[in-house]
Amino acid sequence: MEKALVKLSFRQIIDMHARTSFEKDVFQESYNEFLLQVQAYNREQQFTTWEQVRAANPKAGSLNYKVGFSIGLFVKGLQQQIPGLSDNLGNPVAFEAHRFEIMSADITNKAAHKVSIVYTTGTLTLFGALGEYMLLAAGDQLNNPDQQEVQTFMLKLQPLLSVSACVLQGLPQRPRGFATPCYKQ
Amino acid sequence: MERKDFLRNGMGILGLASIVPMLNGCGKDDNTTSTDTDTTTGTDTETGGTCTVSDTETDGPYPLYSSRGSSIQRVDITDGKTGLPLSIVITVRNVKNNCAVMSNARVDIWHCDKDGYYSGYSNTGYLGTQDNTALVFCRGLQYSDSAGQVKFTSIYPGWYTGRVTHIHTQIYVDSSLKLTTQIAFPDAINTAVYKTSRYSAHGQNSITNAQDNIIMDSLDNELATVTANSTTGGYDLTHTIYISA
Repeated sequence: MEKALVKLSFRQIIDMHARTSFEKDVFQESYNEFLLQVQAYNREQQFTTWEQVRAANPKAGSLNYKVGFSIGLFVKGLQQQIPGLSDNLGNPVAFEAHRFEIMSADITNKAAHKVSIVYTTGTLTLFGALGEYMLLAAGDQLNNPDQQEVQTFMLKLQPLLSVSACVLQGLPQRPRGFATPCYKQ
Repeated sequence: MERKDFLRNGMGILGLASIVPMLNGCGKDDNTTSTDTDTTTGTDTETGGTCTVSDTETDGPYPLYSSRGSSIQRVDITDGKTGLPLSIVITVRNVKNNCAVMSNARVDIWHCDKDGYYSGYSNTGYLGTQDNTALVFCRGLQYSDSAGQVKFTSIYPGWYTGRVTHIHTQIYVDSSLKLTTQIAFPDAINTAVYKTSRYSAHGQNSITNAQDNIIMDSLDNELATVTANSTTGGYDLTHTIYISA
């Protein structure tokens, strides 16, 4: 397979079965915040579920941002390590960005609260796939004219893990940071 | 003012396709229209007069809120943004309690940076599109103290097409949303600020408070007191918000 620059995204789903302290914090606080914020879109209290609120007012989709920032310090506490994802040696995988989303919620039923956080890595170099494993290195290692040794790691393909951005080697050179057809910032 | 009026007036005045998303974002949201009445009155224990609930305004496109995991519960909301220093003191008073100050009210505020960009989402302005999704600059929340006050340190906001300078604010009491409103700045000070070096690249805003479709009908209770601060070289903003709680 062709070498490429990629970003990987891993989705963590958190619901009433939250186990770690991080998951419990996110479950608890995001639900509390949802109860506060949904009021702006439910003034007559005619809705009970997130789906109803969003269907009635598409603008309510902004609650994903609003509620998401209420867990900002918890995410910061992860110290840029994706929870639940490690390489083949057990080392954590670093993320640069995250996106919070409410999957379901019910004003009258906390047990229905379910959210996801998608963590996205910085730029990685994907050298290829070996069986179920991707051979990766941090940063852009496509140009290595001096043939310096590069630290690599191997990551197993698994559910909830996806390549979310890529730049294939051999594409026309573009200024760094410029979006290419398969590379989104 | 109501969304339909804002959109109609706004489009009529501005008529630019490129600003439609921003107008939509700033329009009054039908479902955010407060059930609070602005005719509720009470007696101000300090002045002997009456007070009225501050006008409800749109929360704009993307307000953010917080809790104990919040990244925006803080006094200094600058986050490295440059601009003239702005000290913000907001006092919350309750019209249902003789206009007495209200402690432990949660006050969320958010405003744009000196160039007219918000944190929290991707927005387009005179410098192009900026993806500020991961940033929280110029956003904060505090709980009011025994004097009914919350204090923030920030920078004087800039402006973006279609709106005059403003701060968004939202007040919760006991987890209940009591008011979504905005705070306006005196026109003369806006003009003076936008002449200074950090703001001059964007130039002057073409509309004033009286021409702003969101607050033109609410200036009597949404216009803040803003004074120069010779120590910081910036400004001090004080404002009282009246809620019915």
